[in-house]
Amino acid sequence: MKKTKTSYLLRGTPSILLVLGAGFVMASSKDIRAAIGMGVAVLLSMLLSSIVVSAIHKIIPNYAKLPVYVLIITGFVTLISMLMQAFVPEVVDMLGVHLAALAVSAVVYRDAEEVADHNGEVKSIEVALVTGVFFTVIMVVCSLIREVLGNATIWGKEIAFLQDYKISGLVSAFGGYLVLAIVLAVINKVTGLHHHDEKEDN
Amino acid sequence: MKIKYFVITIAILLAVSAVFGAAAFALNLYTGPIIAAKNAGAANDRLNAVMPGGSAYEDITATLSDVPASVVKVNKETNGLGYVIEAQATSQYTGSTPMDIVIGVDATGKICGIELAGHSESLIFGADYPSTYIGKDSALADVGLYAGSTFSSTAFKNAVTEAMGVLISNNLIAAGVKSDAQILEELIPTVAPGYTKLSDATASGNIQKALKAENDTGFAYIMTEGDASYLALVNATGVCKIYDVEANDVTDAHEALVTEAKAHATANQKSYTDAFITKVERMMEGATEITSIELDTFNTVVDAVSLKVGDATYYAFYSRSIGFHQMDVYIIIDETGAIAKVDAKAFIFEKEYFMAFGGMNDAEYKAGFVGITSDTFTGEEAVIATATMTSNAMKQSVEDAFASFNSIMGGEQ
Amino acid sequence: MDFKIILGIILAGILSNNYALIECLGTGAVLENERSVKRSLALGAGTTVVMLLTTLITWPINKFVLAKYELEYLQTIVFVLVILVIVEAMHLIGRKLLDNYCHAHFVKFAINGAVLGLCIHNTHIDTLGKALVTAFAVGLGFTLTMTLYSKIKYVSVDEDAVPASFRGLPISLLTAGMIVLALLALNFNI
Repeated sequence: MKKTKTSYLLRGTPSILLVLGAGFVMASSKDIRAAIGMGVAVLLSMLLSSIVVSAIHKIIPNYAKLPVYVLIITGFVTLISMLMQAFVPEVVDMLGVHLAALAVSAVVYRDAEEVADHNGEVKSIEVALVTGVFFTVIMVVCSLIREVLGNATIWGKEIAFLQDYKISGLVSAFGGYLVLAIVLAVINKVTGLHHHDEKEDN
Repeated sequence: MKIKYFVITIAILLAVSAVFGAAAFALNLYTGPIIAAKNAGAANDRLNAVMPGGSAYEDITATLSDVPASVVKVNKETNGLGYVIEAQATSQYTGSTPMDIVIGVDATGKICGIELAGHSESLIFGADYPSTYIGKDSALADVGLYAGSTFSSTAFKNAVTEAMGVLISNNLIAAGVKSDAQILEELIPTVAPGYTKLSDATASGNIQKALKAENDTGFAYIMTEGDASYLALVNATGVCKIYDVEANDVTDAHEALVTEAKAHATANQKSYTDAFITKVERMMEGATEITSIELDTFNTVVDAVSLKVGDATYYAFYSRSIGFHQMDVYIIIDETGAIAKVDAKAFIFEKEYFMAFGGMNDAEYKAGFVGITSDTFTGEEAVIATATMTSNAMKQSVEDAFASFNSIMGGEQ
Repeated sequence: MDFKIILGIILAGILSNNYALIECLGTGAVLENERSVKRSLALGAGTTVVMLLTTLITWPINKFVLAKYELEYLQTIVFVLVILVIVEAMHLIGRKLLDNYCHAHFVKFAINGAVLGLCIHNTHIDTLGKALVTAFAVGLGFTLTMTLYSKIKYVSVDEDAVPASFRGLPISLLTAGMIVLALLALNFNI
């Protein structure tokens, strides 16, 4: 149990955070517009909440930290989604409930909790930026594969020569898992960052 | 102690949500109108789709009189390009989800766009059927029904006609002028209710347009004599009637047309008489003196004979009404006008509501008609639970047989 | 309510309307789950109770306050507030019901996308009764999925046999993907 706690604290590398954010990554990678919209929302909500959390973490009693942080993130997600609704409503329609669910996404609040809480503002902004950009890139890569090969469109525009070769399974829920798994495996291979066997932690 | 923590946590949470609630409220003052405008724009997209060049619309429904239930909303294009009507149509198939129809009518009273949305009919029709309405005025000349989906396309057409009617009755557009031929053609359902699914047949001579009923109940012809157009109907027993554009029966004044129409019909009419007589002999054992009768009714009855069993005289009618499929219904009525026997080649339950099979006793159902006269027939006798269309067709067959019987009896007296 | 409707909603909650894997709401909580069957079931049951209670509160709030006064933009923040209060309250009284290990994780676990997503989806359901049945069904599906997943992932998958670059999250995703494939097959909707 002690070790599990330690492993939470080790979550500086964004790739491990992906476990927690896998849900919205898959949900928003059907379409590149959705992926970019979600990426911006993740980035902004992490950034703003990190700033606020690192500013107020000293006055919030320990036992109330988690719920308060979640609510702060929710507040920012609400504001961001209102702005998105006003300016990019089609992206909000594509993301649907997942945009709101970002508020309670573990990736954002654990980031706030563990990074902003224990580090200074500068460090937490840095982490938020890195994580946000990382998530955006992953989502864009996945969405490119899924949208182009699965739906034969890009940015909502039809790609004529691919129309007869759609792999429609890629835009289904299963496609999300498959593509994300392969993309991560390729990243692992290329960067040489093999995930350590989790069993050792237990 | 724990409770204290809980209370403090809740208090902080409420404070935080109050802050963000206030921020959201403030932001909404800014984004709310933008979102509302975009949503309105999305609604306009639907209208713009049928109104080329349209941009802004004004809902004028409340200012109009005599708006039928099928017309949901009438929008006026603010630059005067025309009107967009949002209508709903229901048919036997649509059930609780009516067809949503958006009709664009330009300032000259012509349909400039039409769309069917949000219903399975759009899958059946495709975009092709609604597009046959484009460019037409309220007369809807040459707009037919969609083969294979007659009920739905009838409902669709009626909704369009009603929608145009609102604009005309409120003097917003001029009514389209119907040609005599079109008026005559639209007369057919009234004067020959048994003719279903008319299809074109070869026209010749004075016949401008020949229409054949798919259920072989007869023919309708648009004919010309001099400058005038007439509607000629020939039923399956070869009787002809001529109507003028005012729907008056002018048969006696146009012998030549009668002869020509009859000749065309005789050459093309499928005869069921032999098969029908065999069927009657099987239904009524010991039937003698089976004689064909000419009918002057234009309903679903395609053949009629009189017959004798012993001393009693009976009249047998063969009706081809349409339920889920083509029905073949045989009805024998005695001299007093009471049904003696009912049979049908097949009660078409196989496709429609096959559930009806389970609870349905064929023999009992047919026996249920015996003894009924045209005065005591309520239609209830024909009802088959869960098989509405077959029930309706059966009801029509029985009513038509009575009508034909009454016309025979009237003729003999 | 008709028994058939209830059965339909429950089956849908487990199969086609499976939040954690198919709708990708609360996937993180499932993928991260490496607990024993007993603990998974305990946390799942706790989450199901949270879903029922939040639905009981958020559905009327949405219908009689937010929708009525055009305050839909506050939906997320109000719903999350309700979820947090309920989770905290359950945390307060739940020590006896959940074992200590689960109790310590309960708050983090129960605050997930599935609960919020459910509350938001439920606002489109016409009656509170149906919304509650849906909440129960989704909770049941969620519990089953996470139990099934941890069982498959940590008992059946031999990480040593997996290519190095697929170890960790990729193989977790593929494992979950297999469950999704099975669910989708039952859904006739691939």
